[in-house]
Amino acid sequence: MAYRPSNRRHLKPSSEDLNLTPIMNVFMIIIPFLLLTAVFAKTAIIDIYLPQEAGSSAAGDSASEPLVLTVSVTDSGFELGGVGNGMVLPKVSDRYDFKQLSEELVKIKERYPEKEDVVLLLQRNLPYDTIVKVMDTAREMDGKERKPLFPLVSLGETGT
Amino acid sequence: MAFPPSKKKQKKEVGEASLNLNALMDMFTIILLFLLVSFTSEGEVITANPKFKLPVSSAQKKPEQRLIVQITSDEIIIDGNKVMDTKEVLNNEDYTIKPLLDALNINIKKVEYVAQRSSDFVFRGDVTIQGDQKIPFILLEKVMFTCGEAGYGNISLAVMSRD
Repeated sequence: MAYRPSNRRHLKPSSEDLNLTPIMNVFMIIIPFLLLTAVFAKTAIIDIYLPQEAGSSAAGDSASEPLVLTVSVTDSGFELGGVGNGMVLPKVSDRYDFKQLSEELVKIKERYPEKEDVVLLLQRNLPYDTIVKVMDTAREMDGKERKPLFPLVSLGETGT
Repeated sequence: MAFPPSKKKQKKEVGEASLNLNALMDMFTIILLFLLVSFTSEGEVITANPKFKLPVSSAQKKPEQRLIVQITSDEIIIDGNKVMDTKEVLNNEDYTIKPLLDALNINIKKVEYVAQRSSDFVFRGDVTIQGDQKIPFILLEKVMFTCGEAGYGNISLAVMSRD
């Protein structure tokens, strides 16, 4: 007795393209999930340094490093104190002149290359983003180079 | 009179409709790879909170895991727990914020407990302050003052990186 011919003979050749439906399903789940958890806004931190007491910190070289540098932010504009010699940078068309401040700070940095710290004197009602802007201007040079100016920033309140 | 159906249509077979998914697959694969890379490389330390907007800065320093004090325009939050309303602080002339100081002291106790039992642990008084763009300086100053008083002297401000 002959064997019965195999059923496979009747099998049609399967279609060439892969069945992508399961992997599509997986992608459909994974992609929304990853999109939700992905963070596109990068956060960073700025360190604040508490102002050191004069005398205790620089007892020896107080002669070579004469004064602190202060930037006070008033209603009318910026005022550079200490090494800044009381220079006043008024507001330009009702906005703080950050460009001018940056230029003046670069000049001061050239005169005192060793100096690293700056004290910002701020008014009570100054909004936080303006504070951060002033801090940025004081910490780094403008432009692509990102050279540090006075990275040790401390904050204080203007005497009223 | 209506036109008779065209010859082409008459001849057309009613075949099995199959969607060509190859292009879509390519796209998904690329998106998936991109998302996976951005997912693994960033450890989340500072979580975005829709309640406040951080100021934008050019700072590049990466945030670390540390105690977080959040100041929104409504409330002050330590590590996710609301401590008090912001208005109270503004109405009070005192620089020390009592409820905040208490909350920080509780935290210090916890930290000391850990420090007693593990010699590797060093308490440096690190704290990150996340403030809303619009909060006035006096509020920030009071919070910083209180943090300093509680022993958290190593203060950092969280900002949004510009690029």
